[in-house]
Amino acid sequence: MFDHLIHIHQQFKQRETGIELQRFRSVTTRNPQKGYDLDAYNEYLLLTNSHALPVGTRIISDTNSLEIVEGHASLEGIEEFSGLIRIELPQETQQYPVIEFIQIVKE
Amino acid sequence: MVSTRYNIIRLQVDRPGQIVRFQHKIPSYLKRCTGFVAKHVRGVQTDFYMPEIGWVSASFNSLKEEAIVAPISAQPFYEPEEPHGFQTLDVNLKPGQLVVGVYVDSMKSNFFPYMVSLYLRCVPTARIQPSKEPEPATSQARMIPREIDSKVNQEHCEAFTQDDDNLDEHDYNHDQLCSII
Repeated sequence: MFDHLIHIHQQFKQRETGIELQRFRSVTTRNPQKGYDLDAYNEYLLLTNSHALPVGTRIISDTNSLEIVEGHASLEGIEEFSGLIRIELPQETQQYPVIEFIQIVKE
Repeated sequence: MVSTRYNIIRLQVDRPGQIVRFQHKIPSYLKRCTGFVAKHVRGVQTDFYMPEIGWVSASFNSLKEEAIVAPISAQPFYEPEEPHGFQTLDVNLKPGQLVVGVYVDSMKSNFFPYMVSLYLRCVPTARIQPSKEPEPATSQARMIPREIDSKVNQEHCEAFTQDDDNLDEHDYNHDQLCSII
C-alpha cells in the first residue's frame, strides 16, 4: 500500500528541504461557489483525495497545475501545489466535495 | 571564453485551458543557467498584442529550485510590440537533474492550437562564489616573545614563516612582521 507520509518525507529529503510543520488542511466547497483561492507561499499543499473531486475540477498554482480527468479515480499519487492556489469546480457540477491536503511548511 | 548553450523546450497546446506538463534533462556538462525566454512561436494569429495567452512555471534541479513563472504573450507577426529578450536567471545546475514545469493556457476565445517554446540559456561554468573577507588582523596575530636575542629571533621567524606556509591565504596575517621585534 502506498504510504503518503513516507513518500512525502522521501521527496523532501531528496530535495534537501527540511519540514517545519506537517498537518492536514481541508477546503470545504459549498453550493453555488465554484472558485476558491488559497495562499501557500513558502509551503506546499499536497492533494490527497483527487479521487473525490468531480471530473473537470482544475487546481492551478504557481508551481503545478492539475485538471481532474476520469482516470484520476484509480490513481494513488499525490499532487503538490505551492504559492497562490486557485481551485475551480466545473460549472455544471452538483458535487461539492471536501478537498483535503497535507500542508507542509518548509524550514 | 564561455560557450553558451541553449536548451529549447517545446510545448504544444491543443485545446482551451489545457495544462501541459513537461520535464527536461539539461546535459550534465552545463553548470549554470543564466537566462530564459518563453514565447509563443506558432499558431495564434492576431492583429493586436495579447499580453497573456497562458503562463509557464518551471523548477530546476529536480524540484529543488523554483525559478520561473512567466506569462506568454502573442504579438502580431509583422509588427511586434515587445522584443523577446532573455530574462535573467541565475541557477547553478546539479548534474543530470530535471527541469520540471507546467504550462497553463488562459486564452478565453478564438482558440487555435499553438506552440510555445521555453529557451534556457546555460553555460558550462559554475558561478564563482565570492571569497571571504580576510579576518581582522587582531584576531590572527600571534605573540612573539620580546626578550629573545637576535639569533633566536631569526630562528623563530624562520619557524614562524614555515608554519605560515601551511596556512590558507585567508588565514595568513600579512601584518605580522618578525623583523620589527
